[in-house]
Amino acid sequence: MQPNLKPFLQARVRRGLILGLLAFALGFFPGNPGMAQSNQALAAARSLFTQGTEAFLAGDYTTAARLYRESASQRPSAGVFLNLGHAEWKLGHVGPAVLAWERAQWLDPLNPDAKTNLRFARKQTQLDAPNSTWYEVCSTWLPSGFWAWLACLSFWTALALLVLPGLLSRQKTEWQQGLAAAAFAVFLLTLPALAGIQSRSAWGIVTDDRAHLRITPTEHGQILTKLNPGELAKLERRRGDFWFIRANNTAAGWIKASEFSLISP
Amino acid sequence: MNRLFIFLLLLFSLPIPLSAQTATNNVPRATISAVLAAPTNDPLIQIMMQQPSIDTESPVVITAEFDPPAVPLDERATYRLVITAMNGGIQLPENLPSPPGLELKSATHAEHYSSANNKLFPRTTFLYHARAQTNGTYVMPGFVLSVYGKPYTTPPAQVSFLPTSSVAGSAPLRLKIEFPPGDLYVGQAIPLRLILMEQSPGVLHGFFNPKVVSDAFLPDPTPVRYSRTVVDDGGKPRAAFVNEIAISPIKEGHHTVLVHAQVAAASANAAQSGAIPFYNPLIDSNPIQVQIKPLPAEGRLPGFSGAIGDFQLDPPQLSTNVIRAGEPLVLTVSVRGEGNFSRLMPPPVPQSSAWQVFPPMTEPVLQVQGFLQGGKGFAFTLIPLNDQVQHTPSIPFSYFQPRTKTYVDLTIPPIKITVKPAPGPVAATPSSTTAPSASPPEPEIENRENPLSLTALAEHPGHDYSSLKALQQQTWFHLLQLLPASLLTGLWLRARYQHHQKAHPELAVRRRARRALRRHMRSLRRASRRRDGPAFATAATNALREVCAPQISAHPSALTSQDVLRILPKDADLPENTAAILHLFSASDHRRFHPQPPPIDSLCALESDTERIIRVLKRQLSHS
Repeated sequence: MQPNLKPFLQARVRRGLILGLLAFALGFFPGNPGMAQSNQALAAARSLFTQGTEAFLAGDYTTAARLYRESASQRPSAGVFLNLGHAEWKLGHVGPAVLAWERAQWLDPLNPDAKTNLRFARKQTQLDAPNSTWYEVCSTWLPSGFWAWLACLSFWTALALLVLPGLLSRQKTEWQQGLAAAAFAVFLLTLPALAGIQSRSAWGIVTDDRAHLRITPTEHGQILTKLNPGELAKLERRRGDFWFIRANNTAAGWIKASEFSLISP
Repeated sequence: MNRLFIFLLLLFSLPIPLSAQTATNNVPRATISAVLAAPTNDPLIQIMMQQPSIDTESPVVITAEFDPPAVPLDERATYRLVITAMNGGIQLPENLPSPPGLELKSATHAEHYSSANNKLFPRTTFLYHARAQTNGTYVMPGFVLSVYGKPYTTPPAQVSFLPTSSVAGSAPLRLKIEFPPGDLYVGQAIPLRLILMEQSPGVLHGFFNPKVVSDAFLPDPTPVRYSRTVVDDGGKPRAAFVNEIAISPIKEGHHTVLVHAQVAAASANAAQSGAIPFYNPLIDSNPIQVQIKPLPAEGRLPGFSGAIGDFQLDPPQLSTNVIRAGEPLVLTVSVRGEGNFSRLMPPPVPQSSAWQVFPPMTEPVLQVQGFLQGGKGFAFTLIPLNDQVQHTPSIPFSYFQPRTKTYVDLTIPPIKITVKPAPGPVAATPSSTTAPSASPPEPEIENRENPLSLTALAEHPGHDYSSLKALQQQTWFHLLQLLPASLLTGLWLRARYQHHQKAHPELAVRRRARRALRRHMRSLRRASRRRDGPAFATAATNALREVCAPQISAHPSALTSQDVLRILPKDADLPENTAAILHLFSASDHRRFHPQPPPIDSLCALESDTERIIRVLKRQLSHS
């Protein structure tokens, strides 16, 4: 009697398909250091970072800032933005310096150097610190990507633990239900942080020394007030080359897009 | 002024009950009254409620008179119309019906209040300037005007214009304006002398509430200075009341200035008239033309903040001369002199990388003896940012001197100080806020505890990211969620399918039958093409068995030709079909059980019949 291998083979084929799909997804996972192209960009960014530091130590802040900018455009990292802020500060560019440090803090909110430099810059230029809401503060407790992954993982874990026993005709165990409840609780806790990240992604910095807040989105619109470089504001809407922003002191108006940069573009 | 303030308070209080009543139409009136009468702790409301009400119910009294009643032809008389009502309730005719030959020109009007019996009595005075071309007596007839919506008729008034030589007696009550000599500039505090010549002794007691009637001037908050002195009146010394007020021009160009004021007159004549319980007639001045010049743009010095006059700077003072970097010190500067102190602004401190500067505080104006003379102090809070600083910053300051028509430099000089290092590490400072620095890099000292310092350069870039965009806003992250979602959906669909299969096992049997039927049909066609009769017969019987087996819940191999014929629908139960089926089964059995192969004569010719039969049976299988 010949053994019936058909069900066994079908199961193997099915499993192979699932694993193939996973491998396919991970292969195209952005930021995957395994990708050759990514590795090249990373090496180039590291090289630019090193050259920028050398230029900075040699006193050539303009070159250092350019190199740091190029490095950040290839592979953004908190260290690159920290040093870019130093170079811009040395050049007297308050707005770009604050923007760079804000970006460093955006990428790595646990980095104390970015926080210290921002406090120093705001003290020096008499700029107000941002008035953050509670959920925006929550979102700074961990890196923004971490919150997203945590939410994703906890949600699917909770859902899988709740649904899979039924789908696989297994008995639900107590530990599965407990773990599902804990995962769902974690997911709920991440929601305010995600809302905070969403809200903070609209924040930007006034980078131009001659930035003006206008009543209308036109070149010759009536000027409401002059904005200081480095001032924090929230982007509310866009219209052509003008953005409607609300500054930290609640003054709202239109600003040229070239005079304002988002922390998370 | 107090009366005016009370009136304004009452006026602003009116909308409160009105709006309350409008908004609460359904609320009983007693409730509204109770709410309004409820005691309040607001002192302003309490003061307001304690103020006397404005009398609008007393009979309206209107007086009209010419002042003086007899006037030289080359002079003017004043037609004074006094109505005991508020200005807002009075509607005068556009043109007064003046007698022929008498020219009336509207000059000014004012509203005043007098208090009696815990009530405020309003009184509005309209002044018209009257001139005549020829000598004679003119009678201004009564005319109808509207007060609080009711018509009233003014009494007639009479004036005589006489030859200059024939007019005797005192001069008319008229204010005289004296501007200071020299040019007048926009923003300057101008001392204005208002002079009222004294009439017969004891008749006048002065004048009050002076007001400049012009939209080109603002009253200066400097207090009015009163005096009774002797002035030169056409070469003769004469007693006069003098009020000094200060005004500030706000518009350049030629402007007409007229001043009115209330006269504190002896009550002898007023008491005799008996018409009005109080009598402080409104008088005015002759209008005069002045020219206001703009401040010259040439020669303007740095630090000019609008100071106009003649000022001196006291030596600036520091709260301390020895200080540590990062600690605040206060630089106090006093400006003395004569000028627009009420609008004197402190000069801005230039931005410096060595100093942190806070907006200066202004101390109250110090008044001294002379009019518009005084002093004002400015306090600058400064913080040295490093111990290299040796002097306070020089603060440019200048003022415009109308006397010399030039700007005068009054720069606040730097003061030598000693700055000691801060207790912590030395703060790194921005090289400049506007221009790139050419200086060599300063050593960066890491000090996270001290907020006034930058951290050191990062030695490593740290963890790198693909983008600054938040992960939750990236498309691939959303697409990635499809993976677990599709996995769970697939599992759910599979479980559902399995459950359905369990509930309906006949479906699996039919599906299997259809699958086997397809396989046998393929074999049948292949055998037909090869003209292989035995194989054709075997494939055809197998196909017939497969398609019929689910319909009688039997195993396909157990079916015989009789079973197939029994299942065959009536419309297909034809002799040729029966024959074909029997022939096929016979050939198949022959091949199966007989050692000799079956004749291959006409088996393949049955292909079309066989397919038709199978189609019929297949349709029946689908509908069962």
